[in-house]
Amino acid sequence: MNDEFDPLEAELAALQPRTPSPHLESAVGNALRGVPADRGVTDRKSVLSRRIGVFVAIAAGSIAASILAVSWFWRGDGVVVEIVPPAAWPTPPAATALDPALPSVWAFRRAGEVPADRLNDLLDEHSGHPPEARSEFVQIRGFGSSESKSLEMLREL
Amino acid sequence: MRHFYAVIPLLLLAWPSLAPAQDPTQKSPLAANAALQHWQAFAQMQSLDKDQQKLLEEWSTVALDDPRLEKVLAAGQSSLLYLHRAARLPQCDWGLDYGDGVSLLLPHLAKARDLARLAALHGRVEAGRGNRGALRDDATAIMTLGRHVGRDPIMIAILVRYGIEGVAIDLVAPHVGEFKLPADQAAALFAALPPAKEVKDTIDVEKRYFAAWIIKKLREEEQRQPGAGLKLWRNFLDGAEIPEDVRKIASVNEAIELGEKLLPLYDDLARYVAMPKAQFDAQYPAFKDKTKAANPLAGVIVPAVDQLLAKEHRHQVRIAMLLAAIAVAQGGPDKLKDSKDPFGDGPFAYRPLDRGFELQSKLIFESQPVTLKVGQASKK
Repeated sequence: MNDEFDPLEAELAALQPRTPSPHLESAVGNALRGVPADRGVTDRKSVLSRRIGVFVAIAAGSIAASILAVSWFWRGDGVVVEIVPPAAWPTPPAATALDPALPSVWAFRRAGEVPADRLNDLLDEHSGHPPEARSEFVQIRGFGSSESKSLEMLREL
Repeated sequence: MRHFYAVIPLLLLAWPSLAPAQDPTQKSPLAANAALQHWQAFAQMQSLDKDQQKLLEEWSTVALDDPRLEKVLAAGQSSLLYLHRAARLPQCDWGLDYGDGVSLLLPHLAKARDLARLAALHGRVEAGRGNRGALRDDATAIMTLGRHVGRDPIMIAILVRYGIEGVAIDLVAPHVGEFKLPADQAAALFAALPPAKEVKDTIDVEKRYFAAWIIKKLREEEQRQPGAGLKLWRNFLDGAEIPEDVRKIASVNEAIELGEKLLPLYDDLARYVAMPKAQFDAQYPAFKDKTKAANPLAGVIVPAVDQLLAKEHRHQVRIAMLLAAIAVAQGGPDKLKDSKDPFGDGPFAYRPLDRGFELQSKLIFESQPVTLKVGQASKK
């Protein structure tokens, strides 16, 4: 221990017990009598003030969210942005399948039903270069095809 | 606590500024899609004139001192760069919408085939210069491209897959003896390739998205305008070799009814395709004949799975032969004992050649046993 009080010791020496809150006595009394704390007058006030706090926070939050939403949709030029409902997923017409210029599943299926090189010709077409002299189109269609022509169609791959 | 509630509105107001800005140097998970790299490769492919196109078609036989090669390969440099980037990405999604039915467009197939040929030409030229590393990288990239193309269970995509992977086999086989890659490492490289679909995976797609789609479209067209359904039906049949029974169909309802009767057939088809080859070969022809007799539409709509499977089996054998050939090139013909012909009772047959050797499978394709010639690389 120092011979002289240093400032910290002086500060500690100056500390005095705080006078208990006037509500402490009633709260302790209530507790001793078995009365639930939230039924006490003081606690009722505390609960009320907490509820008001929650209400104010929610209200303020809602207002802030509204301001955000308005500022988002209300652009600087004063025009309200129209919210367009999501459109249906666009789908191709059936004619797409029948167009030989397009690399559709059906076009490839048909190409697989013709004499040799047609499938490769079709791949050539869709690579951006023209095929050699075109064979006459002959339709076979897999399951019902004659063996020789079907074998030819697959030979190139 | 009261102070905390007061902070909530402030946080809400400040939220937009607190949200982190997207860093352009950070890749989103979408960037891991190999299809993006493939499409960049396709976009960079130069338009080839007829002569250059022919050169690309003949990538495996064109003379390595052909003066046209340099120009074609220089023009394809960027495409090859993107192909090699794509090969590092196992995930690939071409973004196909199966709901489009037989209208579904597959523009990547033709591009992928050309890109594979370009890479094979490059690999062959580099191998001719003694750059085995480039050959191996090109072959791996081609193989991966094939797997990426074959990720969709669509028959034509699978055929193109086998075609592209076949290009890689044809590229590597003549140089097998020059590789220093141990056989087990080659097998591990092969096993690490991205998975792809096979013919058996396509049957359900054929049924649900293609056959059922045609029926649905016929119905919709007829409802939209009486007569339009039948017109669409006739357009689908445009061409020759349509059975007379099918040509005679005079109403769209009749076509729809026949089509609907076909749908359960796909379930039978799936069962046949899953059979071992010997069982399939024994049972399928009778099923096919019976089905065609019962429903004339079967010959028009149902795919020829027997021929597709023949292609698939041939491809499987060629892959197995290539891996066996790498082992033989490293350890001699005795190493064949460790391999098995997928369609035979034992290993592949071995036949020495002037330069290299030939492996032969018991599998017959187009009336010939499937073979693979190894170590026949020409120096010019």
